[in-house]
Amino acid sequence: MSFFFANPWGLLALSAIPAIVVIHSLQEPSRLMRASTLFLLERARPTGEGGVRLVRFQHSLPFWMQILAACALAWLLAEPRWVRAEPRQTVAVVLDSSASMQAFRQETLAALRNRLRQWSQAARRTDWHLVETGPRRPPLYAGPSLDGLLEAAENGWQPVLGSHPFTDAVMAARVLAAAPSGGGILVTDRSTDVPADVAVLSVAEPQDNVGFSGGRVAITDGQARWRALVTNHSDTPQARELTLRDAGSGDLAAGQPLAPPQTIELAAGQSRTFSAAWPADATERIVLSLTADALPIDDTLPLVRPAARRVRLANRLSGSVGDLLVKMLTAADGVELVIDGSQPDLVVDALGSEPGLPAVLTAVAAEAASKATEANPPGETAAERRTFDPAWVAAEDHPLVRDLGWGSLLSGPAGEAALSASDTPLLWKDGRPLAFLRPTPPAAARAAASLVLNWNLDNSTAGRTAAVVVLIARFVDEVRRQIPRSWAENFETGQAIPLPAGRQQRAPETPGFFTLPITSQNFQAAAADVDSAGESGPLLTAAAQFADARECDLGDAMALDTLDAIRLERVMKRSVEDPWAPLWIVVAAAALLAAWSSRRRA
Amino acid sequence: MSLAEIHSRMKAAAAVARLPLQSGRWSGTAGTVLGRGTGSSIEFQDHRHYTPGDDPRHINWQASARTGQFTMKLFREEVTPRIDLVCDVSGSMFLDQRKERRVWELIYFCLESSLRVGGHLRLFLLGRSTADQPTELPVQQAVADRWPLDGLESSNDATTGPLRPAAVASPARLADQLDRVPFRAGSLRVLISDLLDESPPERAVAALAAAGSQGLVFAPFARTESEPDWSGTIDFEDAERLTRRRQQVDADLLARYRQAYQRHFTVWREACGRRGVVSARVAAGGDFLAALRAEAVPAGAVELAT
Repeated sequence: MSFFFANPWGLLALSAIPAIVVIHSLQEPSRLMRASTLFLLERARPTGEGGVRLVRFQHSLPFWMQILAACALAWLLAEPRWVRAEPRQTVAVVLDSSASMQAFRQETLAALRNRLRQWSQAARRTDWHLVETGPRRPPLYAGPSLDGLLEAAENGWQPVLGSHPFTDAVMAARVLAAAPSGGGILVTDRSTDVPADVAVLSVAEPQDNVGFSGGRVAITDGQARWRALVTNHSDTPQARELTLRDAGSGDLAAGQPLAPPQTIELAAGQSRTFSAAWPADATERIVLSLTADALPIDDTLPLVRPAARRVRLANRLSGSVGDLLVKMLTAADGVELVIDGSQPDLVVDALGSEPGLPAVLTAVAAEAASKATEANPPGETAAERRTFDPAWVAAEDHPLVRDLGWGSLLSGPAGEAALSASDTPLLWKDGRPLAFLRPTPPAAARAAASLVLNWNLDNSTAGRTAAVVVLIARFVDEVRRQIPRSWAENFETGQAIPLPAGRQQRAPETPGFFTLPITSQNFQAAAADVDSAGESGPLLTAAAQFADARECDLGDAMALDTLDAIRLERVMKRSVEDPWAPLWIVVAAAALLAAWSSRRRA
Repeated sequence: MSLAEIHSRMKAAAAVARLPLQSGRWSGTAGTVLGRGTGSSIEFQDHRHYTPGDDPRHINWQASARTGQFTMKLFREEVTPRIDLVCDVSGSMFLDQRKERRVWELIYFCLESSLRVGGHLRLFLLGRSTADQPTELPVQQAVADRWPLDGLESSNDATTGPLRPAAVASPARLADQLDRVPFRAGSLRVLISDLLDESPPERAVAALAAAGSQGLVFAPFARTESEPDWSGTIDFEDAERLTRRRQQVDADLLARYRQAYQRHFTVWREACGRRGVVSARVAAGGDFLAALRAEAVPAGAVELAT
């Protein structure tokens, strides 16, 4: 059993000891006494002489009593607590996976090595756990060796993520190292809210940083143009060199500069946009880079020339309804109308045809609409003949209709088409489905659905209702995601990439170029589809860029170290007060009383 | 308490205790105290053969009848003893009120005891400075409580506190002053002094025991001298010179002082013993007769009346 002082400042009471020594070394106020035996006093060889302020230290009972009282009071004020020996403890270290930690990685590892060794001395055996805050990150280490933990941190810790919550990782650490013998340590670079029993370690300091905050490539009239946003995250003006390189087929560091480096200057906190046409002599991949600084992850911006997947549209619906739908569909980006039979990706048809491809189906047949037109009395237009159902249109909570306003959609009553068990309703009117999704037959090559518009489009304001146009555009995007053809696009690091067959992949967590091969295990269905289309090669050519400005701002970095406080708190919980405290109080009081009494007698 | 009161009380004490005149052998004119020679007292002394010129009234006829020779019966003579009372009036004798009172009590006791036995008393006051001469004070003046204590600031009224003798730059040595006292041969030389003198005691003791005299020393002392409670920083004022010196006193120094004090009086006691001088220390404070019983009576310096 060991002990510690809960209030080490109480030991300052020991400073009374030199004060007591000095006081006892000073001459006391003298008394006047008549003496007839001074010659005998001379023979006694006196040691002190009058006239000086300081004399040789004099031992006396009051002196030692006062020293004893000072020691007893210092002991009491320091609040000694006796600690039961801890045979085993569990410590979970949570490393911040945020990219800003790159700026302080070595300093953090050094501090971790030092502080954890101190922490390990609290028990004879320590079980270590090392995890990262990033989601989907596997544990880096679990075992009894601190050196193993440090080595795992050195080799496995990759702080490259954008801003993300630490809650899950911290909670996992608390579960791994549960109280009372456990302890969690969050290693980060800025102040953050953590549970009271979790320590925070940060050795970061505010630093200047300039980096890319994002970039994209836009194609207008067949001409590509890149655009990059550069931000100065510091409080002082900064200057950097901006270099444009052709990456070719290499990585970020490869390639030749396409132009001399350009010096750019940014005021404090300024963001500037730099833009230029895609270099004519460049390949499909370019890299923009800035002069290296403390945070390297935002100093490069990889870009690929985007190539979209065009949606082939076929119209099997004659009449004004088909024309209206084609008009709205082709208004979306990347949609081309093809003749039927040339392997379209999307068809417009009447409900009941049940195509094997995604389709926009109308429940009110085109023939019925035509007949209605023919039945118009002479001299009365269709618009004048329209009669609208005043019932409200109600929307389901579905991505296709979410956040859209349907108040401007005026139409007749919903059609006769009824929902089947597999249908997904989108819109309702007077208790009947106005629009819904119907899955394609299971035998279809692509797992997709058809959008059924269950009202007479002619007898409605659908063509002038923005919500309908947006609904169709969203449906086109859904269809596009299922098209297994090659495309090129720029993503952010870690961004989710929707892929055909309902699969999803994430962009790499580090900036760079990447491809998703068609032979990937994740894309078996897509590969089969592409093969059938006679295409080969990569499915996706892309660049991943880091563009989280929150992580690039190092001005919020600050040093924190609550390990000692947390450790003291833990030790306090398993410690007990000095059982002899009342005795020391009595000793101090008795010593002071004895000193006073002795002085009084003297 | 005034000197008159002390005098009155010592006159009564002299009826209970007295100087050891009865045990000595004195010379002098006829008196009431047995002398060392033969005389006409009723105190038998010896037998011897008759020689011409002897008083035939002292022939012991019965012894002459038995022996056939004239045998003389001798009786001791009765004389008036000579008493030389010497008083030390240095500043240390009046260190505090208790010691001063005890000094006056000893002086008056010796005075009254001498007068009571009809001794021929002479009274001397020792000088305080090296240049001073002992002063003989008429006994009548002392009996009238008129003491010429020149240089003492206080009056004879001891109730106002201890006397404050004036400062003396060069205090007289006790031996020097005793050498200057005109002692009479064969006298009882009574010295009342605290013996707090730096000089060795042999000369002073020799002066008391010279010329067939009997020396007697009464040494009053105060508890503040024998068992002082000094501690810490003290400004000591010398009782003779009235000079001051600051001294830090701790337990070690106090212990060494006590040893020096004891050694000082041991030397005096041994010197007196070698010369046959009776010495007795008389503590200040408390009852006078009780103080005498402590040391003076056992040493033979005072005899208690039966």
